[in-house]
Amino acid sequence: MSNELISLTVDGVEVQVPAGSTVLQACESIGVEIPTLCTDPRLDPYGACRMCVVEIQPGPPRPMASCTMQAAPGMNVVTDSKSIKDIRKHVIELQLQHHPLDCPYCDQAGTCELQDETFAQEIHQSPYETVPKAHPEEILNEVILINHNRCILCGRCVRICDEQIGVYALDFVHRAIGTFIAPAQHKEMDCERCGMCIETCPVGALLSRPFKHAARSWQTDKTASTCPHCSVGCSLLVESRHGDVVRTRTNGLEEPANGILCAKGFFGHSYVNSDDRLTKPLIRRDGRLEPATWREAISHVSGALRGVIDRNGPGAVGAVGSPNCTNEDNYALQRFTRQVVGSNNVYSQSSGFHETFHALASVLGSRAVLRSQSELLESDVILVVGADIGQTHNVVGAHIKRAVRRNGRRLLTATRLAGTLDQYAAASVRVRPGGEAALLAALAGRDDLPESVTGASDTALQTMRDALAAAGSVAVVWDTGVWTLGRTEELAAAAASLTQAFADVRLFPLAERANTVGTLLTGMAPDMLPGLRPVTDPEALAEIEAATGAATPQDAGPSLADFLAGDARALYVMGEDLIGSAGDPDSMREQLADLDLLIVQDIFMSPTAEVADVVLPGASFAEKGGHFTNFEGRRGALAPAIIPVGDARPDWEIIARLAAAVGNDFGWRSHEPITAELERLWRMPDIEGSEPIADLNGALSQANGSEGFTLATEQHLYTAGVTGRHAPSLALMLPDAVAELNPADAEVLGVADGDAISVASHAGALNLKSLVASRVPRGVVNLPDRFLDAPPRRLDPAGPNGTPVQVTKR
Amino acid sequence: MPLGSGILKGFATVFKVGRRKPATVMYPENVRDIAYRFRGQVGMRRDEVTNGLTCVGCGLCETACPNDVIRVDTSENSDGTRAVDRYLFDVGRCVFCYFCIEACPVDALQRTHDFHLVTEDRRGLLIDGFKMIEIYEHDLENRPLQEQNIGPGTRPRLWFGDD
Repeated sequence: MSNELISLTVDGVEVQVPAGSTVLQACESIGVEIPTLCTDPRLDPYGACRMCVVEIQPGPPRPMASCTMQAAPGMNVVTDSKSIKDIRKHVIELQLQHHPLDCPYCDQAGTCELQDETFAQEIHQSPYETVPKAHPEEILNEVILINHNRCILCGRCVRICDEQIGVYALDFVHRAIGTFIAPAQHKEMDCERCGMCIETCPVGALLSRPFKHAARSWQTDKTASTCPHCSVGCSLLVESRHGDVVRTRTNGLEEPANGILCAKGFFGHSYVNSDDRLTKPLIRRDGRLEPATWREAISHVSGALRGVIDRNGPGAVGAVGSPNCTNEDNYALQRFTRQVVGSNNVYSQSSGFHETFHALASVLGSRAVLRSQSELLESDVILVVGADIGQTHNVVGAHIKRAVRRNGRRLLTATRLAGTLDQYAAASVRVRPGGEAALLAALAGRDDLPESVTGASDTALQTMRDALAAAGSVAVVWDTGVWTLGRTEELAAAAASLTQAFADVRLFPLAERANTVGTLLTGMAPDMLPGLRPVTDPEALAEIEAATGAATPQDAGPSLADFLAGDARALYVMGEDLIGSAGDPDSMREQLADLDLLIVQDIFMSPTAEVADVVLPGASFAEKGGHFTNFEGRRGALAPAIIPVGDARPDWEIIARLAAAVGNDFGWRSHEPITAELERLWRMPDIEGSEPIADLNGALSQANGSEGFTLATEQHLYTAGVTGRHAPSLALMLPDAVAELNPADAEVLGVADGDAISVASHAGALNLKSLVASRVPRGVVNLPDRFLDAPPRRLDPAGPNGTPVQVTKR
Repeated sequence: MPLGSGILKGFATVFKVGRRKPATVMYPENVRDIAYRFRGQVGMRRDEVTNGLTCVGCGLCETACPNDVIRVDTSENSDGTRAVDRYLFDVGRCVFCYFCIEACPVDALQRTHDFHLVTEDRRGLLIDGFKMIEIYEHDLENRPLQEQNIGPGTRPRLWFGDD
């Protein structure tokens, strides 16, 4: 669309619109409302419903659909003549011939566009004999159902699945009066369960099963918030009623979500009202965790903390923040630890993002890392390495697909497993698990790495190199989830070496959890202050003292492992499951049980909380205000939609009360003063890259190319950590703990779907059910991550991805 | 006005009014007749097929209510239809405006003449749909006849589904 303006007349009013606009957009730009049923701002014009007809002079002597008609200079548009009004009324009357009038029972009532238009056209009775259809409701999958009787065949569901999500799970089947919406190509529905078909449906034809009959649309309180699941940070509209979050929807068309959500965003909120939530503070008495009041819990914690500080000094106290909590929560915890306790032992965990960030920032500078999504989508070539972004960061994956189809970007995939992105890729290779860095190095010019290491043949590599060399700009995207464990440094170095080989390479390491980037920038590290400045930086220390009125200790603390193995006596864990996420859970449990004082603040009873001395119930994303920082460094605001369940309190509030009890009142009564304080200290990191790119010769030659099976692991589309396990609708979609095998390998082993198999490595063995999946390449066994009952890290605590394993039938 | 005339006027009024028969009765031993148009507690019609609530759980009464009296909790039946888990009516908040009755699309809500709403416990004022059925069915048997002569300027108002 060019910036050139053209002028036309709408109902006698002169309008100027950019050339290429539709007549509908021209009318809407001056507030002339044109009724529509098949229009959605996210979708291309389609012209199915014929509600938006207008008369155009000079032009064809018949009404024209304004949504598909391009505005032309000098056009004279009439939108409200008698014949136009008659046509619109007629369209609705014809739709109502078959549409059931079951509005009192229909979940869409209140937001139904057909209902609104019926009222707007003042239709009170039908001039036709009404013939309601009587198909039964059809269940499409765990979360979506379709009521064919209410469908008006506008095609919005078909189009949003195709145009925006790039999945094309739905289509029209049969013809004319017998047309209905069904899984595309008469197959089983191949669906990513993002729920966008439900959201775009103008009537109550496509329905959300978790939301069905839960509330009427006008009764819910709507709160704009941010999705708590992955690091894309899509904005959400949280709808709640009587203290229950009943559904979440998209909120606006702005970045980073661009008006869509994934399964986790649309259906993954139900953990908020789970019965398993912690609702009372628990204090361990005689070996058992027993409910207590907040007054008891706070005085117990403050007394015990004082005791530890008096006996062992502030250096014996540490705190672990969480990528599931807001910037404000993490900031509050680090301020408490640094200024009230007086130690720099603050930590946060990430599978690989923090290490990747530091590795890349030290070489290329921090500006090279936290880039906006629009830069990703505007790159000529997009290279996806390692995990399938369509699974781990579904919304970014959908945007990439759209960028390929709409804007002519070229996509190269070098993922371990086949995925939906491959269909859109100009070239794709199956990288060997563990050989991701080698593949990047090979693309950057190394030619001594065999196919058994990288997984890519020479011709495939050359095709990809040619595509990268021809591009004006390249985006390299990889998820820094569990599979990068133990490989972050070499992966970062290999990615950095690409920047020297090709022009304008932009690196996008995508963080795993909602606020992984936020924990980095709020100073949840023993050697970094808020704003990612070292604890020894006198300027930063002075600035923090000016903002908070208290001093911060200047000596950097030890790493978390050293701290726990060393002089740790008390640990405050907020929103993190140290045992569940540890490579060696048993030794972590022993270390934590050895502490004098373990305080766990969480929303569920995690394995870590089970060994705690005090458990404090925190608030979920829907119950508190604050901000999440997404992978771009963009802050998305949260707002409290419901009152916290039971006695749960927002995490920052618990810490503020604790600080007040210890005698250092921060003066915080809401999250806003924390936001304001953090705003003074917040800055995007500005690190100059000075170090040379590491030489990977040694590392890569060790990359494995074994004859047996290689273990792959990555996050599944429907896994959302502990929260996801407590969200009934997500738990429904989640497969059991499985090991995925290629059909050919399964045949050799004599294994069918659901057979019990054992996956063994040098470090241990896991007994799992098999799942024969063609997305897994030969010689690879894939363990979707985050199954607490069978964590892949049992097989190699340092980093399971790429570990040689034996698979045997049990 | 001469001194003392106010006192005399007062005596005269007491004398005059004191000989009248009192308008009040000794409630609750005696109860006055109630007019047909009296606005009492809202009742609920029994569904003849299921013998349960007629309510379909559309929530329009809840929306129409100006005082947050009604709460309808719904879920899904096994056959996919809307199930009314709970119909709660907080009599203590009701102002008897009958907006809920007007809003009801299936005429489940009905007017009654019941005003004996006293309880010893505030929680007793929170009644559910089945209690409302009881109230309605009791009222059907005990309601006053519709007056034939209504004062000037008024017309009998027909409520949905009544009589």
